[in-house]
Amino acid sequence: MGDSSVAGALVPSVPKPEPAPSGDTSAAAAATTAALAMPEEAGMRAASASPQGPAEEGEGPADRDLLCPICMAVIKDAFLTACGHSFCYMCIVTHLSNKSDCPCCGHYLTKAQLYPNFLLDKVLKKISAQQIAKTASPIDQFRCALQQGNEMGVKELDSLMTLIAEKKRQMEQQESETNMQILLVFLHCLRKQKLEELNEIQTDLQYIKEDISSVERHRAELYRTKERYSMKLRMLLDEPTAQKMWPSPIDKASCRFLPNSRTPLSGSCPGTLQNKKLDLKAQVSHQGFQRRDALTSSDPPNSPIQSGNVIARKRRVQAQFNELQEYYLQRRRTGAQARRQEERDIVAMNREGYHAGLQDFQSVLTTFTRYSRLRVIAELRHGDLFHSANIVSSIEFDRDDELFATAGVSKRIKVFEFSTVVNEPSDVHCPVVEMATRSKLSCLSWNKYSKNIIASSDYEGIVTVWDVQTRQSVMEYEEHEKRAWSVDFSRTDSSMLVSGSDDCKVKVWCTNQEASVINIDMKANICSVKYNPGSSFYVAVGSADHHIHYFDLRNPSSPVHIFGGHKKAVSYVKFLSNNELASASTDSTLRLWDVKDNCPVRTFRGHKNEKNFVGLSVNNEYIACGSETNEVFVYHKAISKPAASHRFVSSDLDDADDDPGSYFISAVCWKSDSPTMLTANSQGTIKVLVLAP
Amino acid sequence: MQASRARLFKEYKEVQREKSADPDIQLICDDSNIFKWTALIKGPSETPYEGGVFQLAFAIPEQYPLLPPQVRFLTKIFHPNVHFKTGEICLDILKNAWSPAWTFQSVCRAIIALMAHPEPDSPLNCDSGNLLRSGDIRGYQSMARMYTRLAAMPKKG
Repeated sequence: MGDSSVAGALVPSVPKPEPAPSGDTSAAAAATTAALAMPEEAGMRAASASPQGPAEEGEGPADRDLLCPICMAVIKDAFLTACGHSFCYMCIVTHLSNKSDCPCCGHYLTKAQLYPNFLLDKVLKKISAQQIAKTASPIDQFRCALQQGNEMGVKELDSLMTLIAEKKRQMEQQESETNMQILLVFLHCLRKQKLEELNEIQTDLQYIKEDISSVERHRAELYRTKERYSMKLRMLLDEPTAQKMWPSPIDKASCRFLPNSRTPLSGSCPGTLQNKKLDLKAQVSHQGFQRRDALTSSDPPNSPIQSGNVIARKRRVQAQFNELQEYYLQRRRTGAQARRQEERDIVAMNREGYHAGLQDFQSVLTTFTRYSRLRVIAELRHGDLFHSANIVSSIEFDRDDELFATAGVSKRIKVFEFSTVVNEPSDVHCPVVEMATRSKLSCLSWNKYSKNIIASSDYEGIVTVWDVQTRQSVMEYEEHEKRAWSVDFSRTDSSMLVSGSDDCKVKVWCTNQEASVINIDMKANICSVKYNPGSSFYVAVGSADHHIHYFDLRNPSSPVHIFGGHKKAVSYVKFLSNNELASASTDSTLRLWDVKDNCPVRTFRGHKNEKNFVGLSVNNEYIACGSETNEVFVYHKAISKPAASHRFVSSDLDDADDDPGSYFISAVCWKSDSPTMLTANSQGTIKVLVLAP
Repeated sequence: MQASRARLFKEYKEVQREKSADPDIQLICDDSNIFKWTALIKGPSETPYEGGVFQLAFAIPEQYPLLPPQVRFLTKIFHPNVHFKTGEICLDILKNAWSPAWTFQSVCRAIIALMAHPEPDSPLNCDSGNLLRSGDIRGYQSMARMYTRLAAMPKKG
């Protein structure tokens, strides 16, 4: 007890010297002042020792008294200095290697004057243990008790171990149940998913089965009709004029239906059914050959042609099988949904023997397998041999597909007669009309009613309406402040035209007045504008903001719908029909949209277009566009991959010096309802291409 | 490095625990660097610095607490023992009289005491020191009060 009281008296004196040096410093630490202060400190220490001793015993030591003044942590390996202060051994030794004084009172001190304080060490350990006991968890306390060897009876240990074992068993069982539950949930989800897939596949198989039956029935009917026709032919054998009629129906029948029967055989039928089909086909072919031999000796020359066609079509089907399969299933599923909605259609479909989906697919398959390449039927070289820049920005057929006009950076509008270009070979074709313009031209649009009227947009933002007969400009609209990229006459209202410009404005004009009728201010450059062919109110606008804005001009403050999906500027918009809109973009894709339901239909990939206007043209079934690889690509509107392509080749000796990779297709235009189209490239070469088998 | 970091964490905890203990001193430690400290101290009452709030910057050496931190005023102050341009402080406990038992709190307390009791015999600001040595207490106080209002008081309106 005496020792503890002595230690208590010493420890509280540690923090007291802290304010004292401050006082000394503020008073200016002179040597004499320091000397005077020493006795004061001694007196203070003596005073604090006697009265605070009993107080400490009652209150207990404060937390701060346990801390080393240097590291401010609980003292480890307590050492006492000659002047009576306690520190961690490492802290005070490190300090004394720097200075020879006491950190608390500044008294002279050396390492030789340090003494271990074992009692303080013990007290600190006890206090630490107490603090740990307060904050430790019961498990830790239990573990300490066991390790320290508290005496416990065997019975007590047994009961504790029984409790622990029971606890362990319960926890393990619970964990096992949880794992089983998770596994069960997973298996149920998996089964549900697989059942859905199975139902889908079974439904598809049902569709395919129904379609096979329909097609087989149809072929049987055709063969019966054919037999009757053959019998009639025999009766007419004596007449020579009848022989000319033979090949037509046979060719049509075989060409029309053979591809349909091959599609299911190619990938969807089971092996046994496939064998049966092949047997049936062999018999049918055999019978056909017999009939042909019996009829006339002129049949053999036709056979190779037919088989060649069939083989080519089959190869095309194989090449695009995945796309065709996807489209077929899509149409059948859509047809099935439509069927559920309207029961009346069931009767109609039963009469026809086909579902709407199958009919759609048949027409697509027929048109898709009909063509596989583009053939050049005419080539037109610009007469301006001295022009270095000959990019043709626009090439357009007139209302009747008799004339076509070209325009571009040559600052000229040239009008050619289509029949002359195609039928009369010539090194240099002369235009029937040529008009000089002030600026480079970006777009042309023929009036859909007046045959001699054409509109142009140019690089200075001027939209001009020309009279091709008089070769004069009829009207010039100068409101655009920057380059105008696109212009289009309305089909239903021939006096209205629309234009789009880099000044972010879409303007609607009337040929009867000089000022714009409607002005739509958008927030991005306009690359293309197009009237809906069935209405004079709806206009599609392709923009540099990657979107297509579809406007009703009766309410031009905001678009009816915005079609998003392209990743770069929309360079062209064209209507395939009143409800189908095609767009081209410098993200190297074309997209097809439904403007009635406001939804995307399909994305087409295969060409390359990253920065130039490469041309876009559509007809009922096909979409044509240029490529920066100097190729023309043709897509069928129902298949995402190109159906045909054609590469422009530089034939001039002068051109051989240039880099062939730098040329691109700059304009394309279909002839209405025809597999023929016009194409032009950045060299100014114009070709007439036609889709060919 | 390890010892100084541990010591600084201890001081940080102490500051957090006793935030409202001393209203004249506010110690601030950088969120991402334990070696970056600043402090805000109030000018002591009955001095020309009364009403001003002065900002101090601490540069802490790796050997801390064996070596003292370098403290300087970031706020302009007209005081004989503070360099007017750099804010350097002439205070013996920050130099040869340093002891590891000192903390940032006690250093700030000592600086506040220095503001109340300037020592013109070892000046870093000669103008201020000369005023005091020549006995122009009034002139010194006037200048000190002016700079306090200019630099250490928040602008009114």
